[in-house]
Amino acid sequence: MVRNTKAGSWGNPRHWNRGRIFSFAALLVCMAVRCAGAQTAPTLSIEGLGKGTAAIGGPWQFHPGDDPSWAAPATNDATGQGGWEQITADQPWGAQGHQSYTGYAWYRKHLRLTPAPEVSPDFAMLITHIDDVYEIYWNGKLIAQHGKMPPGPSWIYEEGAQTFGVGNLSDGVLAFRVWKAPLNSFDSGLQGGFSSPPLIGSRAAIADRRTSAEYGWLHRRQVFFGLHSLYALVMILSLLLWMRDRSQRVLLWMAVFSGAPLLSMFLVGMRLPISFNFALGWLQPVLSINDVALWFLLLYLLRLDENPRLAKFTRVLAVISLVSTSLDGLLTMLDWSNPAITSTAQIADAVLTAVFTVIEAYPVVLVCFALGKRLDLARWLVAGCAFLSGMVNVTRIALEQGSRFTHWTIGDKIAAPLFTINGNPITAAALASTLLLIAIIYAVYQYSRESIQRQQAIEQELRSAQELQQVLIPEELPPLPGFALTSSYRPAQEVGGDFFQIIPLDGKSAMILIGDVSGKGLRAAMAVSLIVGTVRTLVETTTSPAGVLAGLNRRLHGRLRGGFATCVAMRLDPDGSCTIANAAHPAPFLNGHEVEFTGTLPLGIDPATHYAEKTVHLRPSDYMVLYTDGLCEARAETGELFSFERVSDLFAAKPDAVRATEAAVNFGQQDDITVLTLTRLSAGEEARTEIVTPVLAPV
Amino acid sequence: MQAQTKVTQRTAASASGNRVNVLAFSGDISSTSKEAILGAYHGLDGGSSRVLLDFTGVDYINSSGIAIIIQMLLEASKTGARTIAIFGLSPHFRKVFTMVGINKYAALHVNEAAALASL
Repeated sequence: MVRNTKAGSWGNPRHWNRGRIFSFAALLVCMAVRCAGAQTAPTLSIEGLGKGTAAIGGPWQFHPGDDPSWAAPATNDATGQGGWEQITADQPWGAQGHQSYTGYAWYRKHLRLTPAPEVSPDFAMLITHIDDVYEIYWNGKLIAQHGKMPPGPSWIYEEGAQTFGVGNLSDGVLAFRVWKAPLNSFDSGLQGGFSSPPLIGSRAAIADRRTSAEYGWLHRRQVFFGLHSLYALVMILSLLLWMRDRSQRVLLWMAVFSGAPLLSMFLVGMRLPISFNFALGWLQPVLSINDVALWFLLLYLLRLDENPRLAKFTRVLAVISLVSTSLDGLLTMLDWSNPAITSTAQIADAVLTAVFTVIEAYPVVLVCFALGKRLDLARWLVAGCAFLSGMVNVTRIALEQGSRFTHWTIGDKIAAPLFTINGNPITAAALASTLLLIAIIYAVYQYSRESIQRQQAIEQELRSAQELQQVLIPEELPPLPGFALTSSYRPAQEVGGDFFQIIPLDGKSAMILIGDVSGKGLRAAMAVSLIVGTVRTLVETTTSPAGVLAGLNRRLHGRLRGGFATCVAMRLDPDGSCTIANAAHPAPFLNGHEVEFTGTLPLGIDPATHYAEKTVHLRPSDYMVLYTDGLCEARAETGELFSFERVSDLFAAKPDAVRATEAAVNFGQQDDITVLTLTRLSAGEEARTEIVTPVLAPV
Repeated sequence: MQAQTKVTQRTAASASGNRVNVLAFSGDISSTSKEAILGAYHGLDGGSSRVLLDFTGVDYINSSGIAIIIQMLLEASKTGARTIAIFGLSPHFRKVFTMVGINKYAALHVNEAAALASL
């Protein structure tokens, strides 16, 4: 009984054009009044309907409400009787005295169809659009329907003209039972029912009209689809570039910004068979994601991310926008036809919509924040286009919202096309968003180029710092007479904060320093360079380890920006005497026992700190080890520390520097590790020095 | 692996019956802890002359973390208005605190009871 036939299944497309040509010649449409008297419903007489189509135009009998008996041909639908009135099918009932009316309504038309001679009276009907769901009756019999009536109504968000095979209609009453969903916040109240009269004609002619309408739609969408192909391209490129360098967040936002319009297109721009509730429900968060992506793009591109409060506010607003649009989306998916929830849903819709409509203006606010900034041309273009696009959208959306109360039509005017390109209507919003897309692509390109240049500059700096440290950590030393020395230095980062120096004093004695600057990275390395330079100068005037530490402490005071350095200074004399001073550094171990020191403040904190000296005498085969806290504070995955106990056990076995370092690295290195071992040699043994420093990998 | 520093504040009474503000730290203490620790310390009201630092919940303190503790103790020492004591350190960090001379500015105690008895 019910058919909703696709045009493509109606015979050979090659005949369609011919059918159309006939349609103009073969029709004679005339109106006749069946009975005398103004109250009676008129009959539309269509004679000689052959291979063409005819509009079922003119006045229709109209009745708000619902009564199944109104399908019957005998129903008295005379104008002014029983609530029947006349309106046309050329425009919605909202524009014909029934503004904001929702729910059921009936249209009736008395028809007399006379087919052309030798034409089979097997007709079809084309309906461009009826808002929202409808059933078609011929002489009281349901012959077709489109969408699902309440409860649980369902209809398509945007679709093309529908065609129905209606068979042999000759003389009778054509009735439409229509249901319109409750108004949502952007509904002007001027909708409802027909917006153009249905067409009737032969199946071939109707199929032809439908094909032609679909072709016209595609033709008008060329620019739209072209622009969305560009969005797709930009999205894929941005995503690929972002995956190559994930620190470039701007590329990720670019991908989101260009991906969201594609999602909207799938939901509402392609006439896919997606229900109104589903499409509108998902469209809200998708539009919000698009907005949020634009805000973050503006934040990065207009250098507004330098303002942490603005960045935080933007994040908060993003959450509010996403939550309110998602809630609004969920609302849309409710069954608004249920009277118990209609008014609550409408109020909630209005409130949530008001929230994100206000938020829509945020790009304009962001651009205002950028006004005081020095920006290049690319960024000013983005600012200008974002401002323009923001203003157009906000004005249009704000004016559309609640227009059924304000009766303002400026929103519709802004939404109307500014001009057409090859039949493609171009609206102000489309123009502004296209300009914005182009400006953003250009600015993101510039931004990425600058980031790469900045990254290269940083890498160059790091390389310089590594080279500097290479100079500061000794790689090669002359042997110390009477001692075998091993050392190992293992930085935790590319540039470390540990240091050690072995400075020959007069050809026989030597000053050995081992220490650690708090913190890591470039800043620590710079402090190390200051320390090494200072120590080298100090040993020219003093050979006292305590004197060196005191001098170093005074010179570092106020220069370590709240940090400090710890250091052991030790003078080795050829007779085996070893004078040690300690500034808050882990004490050396002698033959497995820690050399005891009273605690002192580290270097660089209090210029008046005094450092005590202690002298030990090393006999042949005595083993001394100096180290930095990176060794004892190595930390396992479980969080357990290597600790002083393990250090003590480790040194009891008298390992060389590399073995000691490996033990801590295998445990879990956190910080730079430096170890230096000294073994006093017997007379006649050859002095030797083994220094292991990392080979710098090219940056 | 670094856990964020948390600081909680409570009050206790010393053995001599004086009010003691206790700042209990937990997590790791490193350069990123500066705001949390100094913020909590500076947030103590001017009348709190006895402060206890509780390190029971602290897993790890690196050299930048030590620098923050020293900075706080030196501030207190300069004004002379506050007595600070410390408890709850692991043996390892008790040794580190002694090594860097912190024990000259704040007494190190084994537990809260011993610390409260000293104030």
